[in-house]
Amino acid sequence: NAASAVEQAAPSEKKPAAAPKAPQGSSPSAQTPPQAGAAAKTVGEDTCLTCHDDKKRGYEGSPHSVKSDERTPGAKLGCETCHGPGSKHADDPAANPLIRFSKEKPATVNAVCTTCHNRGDHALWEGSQHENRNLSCISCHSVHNYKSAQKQLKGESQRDVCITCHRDKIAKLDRSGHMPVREGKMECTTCHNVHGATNVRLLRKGDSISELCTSCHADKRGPFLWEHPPVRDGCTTCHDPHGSSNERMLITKPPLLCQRCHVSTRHPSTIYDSVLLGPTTPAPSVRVYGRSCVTCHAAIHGSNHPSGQRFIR
Amino acid sequence: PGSPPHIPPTIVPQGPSTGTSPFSVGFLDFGIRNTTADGDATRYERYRDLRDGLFLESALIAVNQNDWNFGFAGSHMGMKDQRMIVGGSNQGRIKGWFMWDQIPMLLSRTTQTFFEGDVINNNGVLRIADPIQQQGQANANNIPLLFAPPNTQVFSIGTERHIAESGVSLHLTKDTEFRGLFRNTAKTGGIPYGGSFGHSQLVETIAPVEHTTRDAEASLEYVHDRYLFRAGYVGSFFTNDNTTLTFDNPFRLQDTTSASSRGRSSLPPSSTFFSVNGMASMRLPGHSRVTGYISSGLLEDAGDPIMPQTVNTAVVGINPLPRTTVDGKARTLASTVTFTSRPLTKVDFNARFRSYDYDNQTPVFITSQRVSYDNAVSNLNPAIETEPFGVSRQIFDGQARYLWRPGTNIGVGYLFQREARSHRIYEDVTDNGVYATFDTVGNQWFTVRTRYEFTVRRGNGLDETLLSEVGEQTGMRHMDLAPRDRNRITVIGVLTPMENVAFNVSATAGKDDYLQSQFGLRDNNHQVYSAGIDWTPREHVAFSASYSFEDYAALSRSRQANPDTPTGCANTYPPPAGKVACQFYDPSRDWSVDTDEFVHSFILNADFLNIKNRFDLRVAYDSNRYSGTYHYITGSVPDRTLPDEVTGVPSTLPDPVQLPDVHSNLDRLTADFVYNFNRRVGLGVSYWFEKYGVQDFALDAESVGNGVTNQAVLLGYMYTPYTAQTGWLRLIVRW
Repeated sequence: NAASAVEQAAPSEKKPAAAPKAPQGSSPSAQTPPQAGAAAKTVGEDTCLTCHDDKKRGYEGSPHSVKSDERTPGAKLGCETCHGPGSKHADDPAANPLIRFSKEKPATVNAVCTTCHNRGDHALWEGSQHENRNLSCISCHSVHNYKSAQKQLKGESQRDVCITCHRDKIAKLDRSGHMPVREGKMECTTCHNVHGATNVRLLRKGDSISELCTSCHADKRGPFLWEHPPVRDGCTTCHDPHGSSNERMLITKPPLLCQRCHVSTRHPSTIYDSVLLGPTTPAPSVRVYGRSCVTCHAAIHGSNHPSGQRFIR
Repeated sequence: PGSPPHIPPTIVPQGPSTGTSPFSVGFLDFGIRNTTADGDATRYERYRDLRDGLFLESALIAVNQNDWNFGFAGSHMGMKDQRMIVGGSNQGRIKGWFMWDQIPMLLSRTTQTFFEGDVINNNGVLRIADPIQQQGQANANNIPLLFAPPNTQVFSIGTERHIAESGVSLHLTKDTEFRGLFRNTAKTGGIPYGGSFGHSQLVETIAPVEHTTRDAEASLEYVHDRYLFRAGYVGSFFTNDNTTLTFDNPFRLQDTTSASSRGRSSLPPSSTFFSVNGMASMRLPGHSRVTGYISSGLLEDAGDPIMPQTVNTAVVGINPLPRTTVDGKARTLASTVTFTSRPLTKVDFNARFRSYDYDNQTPVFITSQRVSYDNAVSNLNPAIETEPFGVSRQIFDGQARYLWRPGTNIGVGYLFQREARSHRIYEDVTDNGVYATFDTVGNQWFTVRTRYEFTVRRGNGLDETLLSEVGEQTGMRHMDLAPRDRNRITVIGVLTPMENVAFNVSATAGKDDYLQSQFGLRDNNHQVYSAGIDWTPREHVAFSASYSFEDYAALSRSRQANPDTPTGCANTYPPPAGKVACQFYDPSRDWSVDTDEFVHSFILNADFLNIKNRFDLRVAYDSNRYSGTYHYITGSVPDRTLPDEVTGVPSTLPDPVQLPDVHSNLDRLTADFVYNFNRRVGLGVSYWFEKYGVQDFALDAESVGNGVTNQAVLLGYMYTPYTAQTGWLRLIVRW
């Protein structure tokens, strides 16, 4: 958001280091950051930077470094807030390695990060789909070497990060029918909370797929006098929200889509083949081209017309 | 409240490595732009504004003083897709922002219509000049002859969203945070819409879009020690300025008792939805946590009156409506309980139960009359009634994982889902599934993630009379609840042989078999494969390439039939001696359509950044090549037909003339070059090339070009190939 972007562009005023405090609000699985021996003590950020000056990049000026926020590493123990007390490591680095997140198992990484990131959007991380698949916070984020200042992502955009695993979904964004993601007006997190959600499929809003979709497409939510069952059941019955080569992001072309459920007499069960395309045909049929079925059944999401049973009005 | 708005990453500079107080930083990217396009520029600019002339691509100003940060960020300013955000924060205490965002959706600039005046801002009324209606009524063959200026107008169609959003995050104490958000979304414009007057008078209209949605969200969260509590409110107030659309019939000027000069459609109703929710989470011994969530909501329409049966003045004998308002109302109740535990170092469990009830309380509306297409009144016996659809859904997902080696987990899980719907052919359907996962990460050489899932869906309380009552084949099963066996597997692998080289591969395959669907969707399969390489030969230089292949295939079944045909036919198959089966019961009239869609995608990127502390060059190319086939098959399909179906019956349908394959290709090339004179000033040149090719029997010019006949008047919205290029000359200033 604007404020966080500003924060990242504008580091806070440097203040004398606050007195070290214990981590607050630790998560249930949080563990004490690994220590290089029971007797290890904190040595302070300046000592760490003697050898690890390169780690200032990315950290300094980031939200983690803001000393005025008592929940940040900057306000607590600096480097040692996450990496553990470093006295023994300072004495003999090879014999007393500190935690290196890139080498740790995901559960360890997550435990350290969720010591503080245990509320708001992160409150449901534990047990979430991503946590269950061995992802850790540093699968997507980096404290020291991020490419996007936005949420300190390891890629330059959400698309760059999410494509690592969800290549099939990202590929759909380039279809002719798509949400404005590649144009920069939406992002994956517009619909999904990747850290966990009460809704299905990590959906950020609502309590069902339909509630998420109608949070923007409120005109489709009704309630209608005449309802179309798949609309009430879920928008994804007919639409692919990630993109489709069909108009209106439909999962397949009408009339074939409609014919998957409508097998009655007369026109719903007719083969609409190439004969009806024209122009040599005596009567080219809009049942096979143009808007197809919804040329007539326009109110397909529901109708309040007293004669709206077939969604024609 | 929802996620705060994001600023496009390209306009957010990395924070300076050192800071002084107070200070300010800023960033401006502006210059001049030119766009050329052959063909359909509309599709090129569907969600963006790339007009020629001066542009202000992005601006950012940030000021810091005494722990307070204030900033402004804007992108595409002055354009139809502009976004501006102003915000301030004191990290850990308060954060507030205001955003103005516009999202255009341009559909067509070449659409054409008989309708007069401002057809987009039409206030729900579309008129055609009487002489045109008169000539259409005299002879429908006049309509295609008349369809040209000055009888018609060419117009642009599309919508724009104007979003004003304001939000605040306030840390009341170190453990308590309040979040609030208010958003006003005004959506204006028009969309193509159907408005036909029968099977031989098919008309496309323009539905006005004058929507306003006001969202208000608030939450209060308390986190302390092992506890988390949260209470929230979500309100959404939707107003549609036009809930009806009245439109003239180009084929008719005078109303009669069987034909109308005008039609009137319903448009979406204004409505309100709000919900309150609460969540509590508690840490337990044994590295465990339990979380509970509950939400209760109410959806109501605005109480608008039900419109009259018809706008046709010649139709008489219409009964009063049984009630005057829709009285649309539904209550929702959702809950989630999650339990996670890692009682042993090597073993963890998690289980989640969700429930969701949509209780549709809209009263049933019973009517004994129908006026189809505003043409003629039909008396219905028996009367028909609305079906307020509701659903009650319960989902359970339980998983156990074993930590085989550091970073390597083996998991097994069980899925259960039960959905009970009102007014559907099954009383309820139940999914039972199992899955297994194998994930290894943190290894220096490779990462592997795999998942296999097998799910069985079955229905209970089947009522086939609900199908026969509406004339559907009783062997048809709606695909959203049809009994189904589902197999899905996903494998993702990343191989890192050297520190600066990574190979990635992924494979996903799924197969859905609808085992009891004689008609309708029979199977639905997909396969997606991808491979790529990322190479970073040195800092600031990176290359990546990837290829993916997707295949989506489905088979659906139908039976072409007219009712009670031939005369005196039998409603059974095989028919009694001396009779023939009605078409509806005759398996020789079965047909299928085998749909197969293929997509090849290529993505190439090359970045050369900060070369000699002066140059940045980024080049990207991506290509998306789609082809779809829709193959009609008459008769049974041996390997995809139910065992108990009547097979071996020679088809009596004429051989279908296959639909032409659908192809669409999108190729995009972008190149950005920036020469930095110093840390503050840079000069940039950017170039975009985009080429779209399409052959689509439903929407290309060859088909839609036939959209105005003696039976149809379409708007001419279509897919058109294009080649477009945009060039920027940019000046970049930082301070």
